[in-house]
Order: sequence, then structure tokens, then C-alpha cells
Amino acid sequence: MPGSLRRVFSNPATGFVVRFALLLGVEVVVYPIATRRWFFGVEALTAGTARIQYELLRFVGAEASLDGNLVQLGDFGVHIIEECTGIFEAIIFLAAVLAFPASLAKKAIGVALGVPLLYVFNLLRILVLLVVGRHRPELFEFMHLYFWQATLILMITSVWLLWIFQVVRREA
Amino acid sequence: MRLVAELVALSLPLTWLWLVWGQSTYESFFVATARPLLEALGVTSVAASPARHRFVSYVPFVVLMLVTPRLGWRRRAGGILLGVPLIFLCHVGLVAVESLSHTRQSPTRDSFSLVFPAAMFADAFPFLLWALLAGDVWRGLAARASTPR
Repeated sequence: MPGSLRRVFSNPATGFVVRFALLLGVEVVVYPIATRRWFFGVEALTAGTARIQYELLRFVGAEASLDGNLVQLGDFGVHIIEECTGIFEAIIFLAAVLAFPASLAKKAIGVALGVPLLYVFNLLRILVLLVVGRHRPELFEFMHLYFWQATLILMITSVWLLWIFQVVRREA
Repeated sequence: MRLVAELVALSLPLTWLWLVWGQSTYESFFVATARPLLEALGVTSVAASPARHRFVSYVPFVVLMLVTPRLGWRRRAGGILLGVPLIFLCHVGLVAVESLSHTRQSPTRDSFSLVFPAAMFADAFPFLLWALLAGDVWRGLAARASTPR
């Protein structure tokens, strides 16, 4: 490895960013190819997410219905698509965990705990959007922007920092 | 926990501010400023780009720069000043990829394969910038992570 390149990788921040960008680059090229070939996986994930959302609403006694991937709370409904499954958050999180300087075991713990945690957060934000859309429709646009774009990376960063503080540093 | 509370406390009002004022102002600014650059890349229409939904990425970047503990104020302010034009360039790139990947003149067979990587990089860009600009805090994190106890 040339000296200048070695210096870049030896700086923890720069090294992480370069590794993160490379890993994310690989993931985002592979993902469309993989989902084109095995699209049933995406279909199963969206259908499963819609079903879980519906069961959650029924569990709390809400007036819910499910029609394909359309979850209705009263007269307000959301169509669960690929973007609603948390898969895109998981892709970024995976790159961040794998790029961080930690042992393979700790990275495995990060992925095994972090991805389901992001999925749970994802279910919660769909739930909040359904409740807001049904009861406070004037706030829906704000909440949708907040939960989908504004806090996407904040949610990933929070889970990633939680992993660093609770797993990587604690067991070091 | 405190960090998460700070993230929420800061991101909520900033997103609200973005929605009521920032979004339309930025879109007007973007159309006026990025047009020459985009036209040079072959993009003719900016106004209808679906990439505009991702313009809010200034909010998570500013929030991360502000809530990061033990980061000097000069580094915070300098980082934000440096990050804002870089995010603008990221938006230019995203709009260009989205527009060029599915125009009527040059239809792409699989636009998702082109748009998806650009959209994901745009989503991750505030995190990437923060990781780079908050480097001092990083050194502490990575060093402690790799120090045996």
C-alpha cells in the first residue's frame, strides 16, 4: 500500500469514512441486482411488515384492516412499500458496523441486535404515522418528513453509537 | 439516552422550520443556483425531481454537528460551514442521476439500479460528513474501542 494511502487508512476518522463509503458502494450495487433476482424476498418483507403492523393495531384494540399491503386505521391507510421495511436503513447501518474498527464477533453482535432494533423503530414510526394520519391529518406531512427523511440517519447513528458504547467499548 | 433526547429535541424544531420556511426557500435557491451546473450535465428540468424530498438532509447533518459532545465550537461552526456546500453538491449529483436515469429522450431499462445507489449515498451523506468532520471525537471512540481493558 503506498504511504499516502496508508496514512489515510491509519487516521481513524478518514479510514472509517473510506471503508464505510466502499462498503456502502458494494451494497448499493449488489442490492438492486439481488432484489431483481430474488424479488420474492422484498415482497415477503413488505407483506410481513404490513401484517405485523396490522396485528399491532389489533393488539391495542384499534379499528384496523389489512388489504394486501394496505394497512388501514379507520379511514386512513398506508401502503407498505420497500422503503417502509427498514431495509435501506439496515444497508447503511451494516456498512457503518462493518467499517468500524472492532472484532468480527462484536460486528456480528452489532448486526444481530442493530438490524432488528432498526426494524422495531421502523414499525413504531409507521404506527405513529398511521395514528397521526387518522387523528391529526394536518400534522401528517410534517411527521412523514420528520420520520422518513429527517431522522433516518439520526436513527441509524443512534443505534450505531449504542452498539459502540454498549458492545464494542464494554467488551474491549 | 441524553444524546438521543438531544437529537429529538433539536431535530423536531429544525424539521418544522425546514418545512414551513427552509424547503421552499432552498428549492428556489437550488433551481437558480444549480441550473447552470445541471444543464452542463444535460439535465433540463429540475422542478419536478423526486430528489427534492431528500433536500432535508441538512437537518440531520446540523443536528449531528451540534449534539456531538466534546467538539469545539470552532470545529462545529467550521464543520457546518464546510458541510453545507458539500451537501448542496450532493443534491446536485442526486438530481442529475435521477433526471438522467429516466428521461423520455434516453430511457434506461433499469433506472432503479442507477437511482438507488445515488439515493442511498445522499441519505448516508450527512453521517459520512459528520464522521469526517467530528474527527477529534472519533479518534477517542476508535482508540478506546481498540484498547484492551
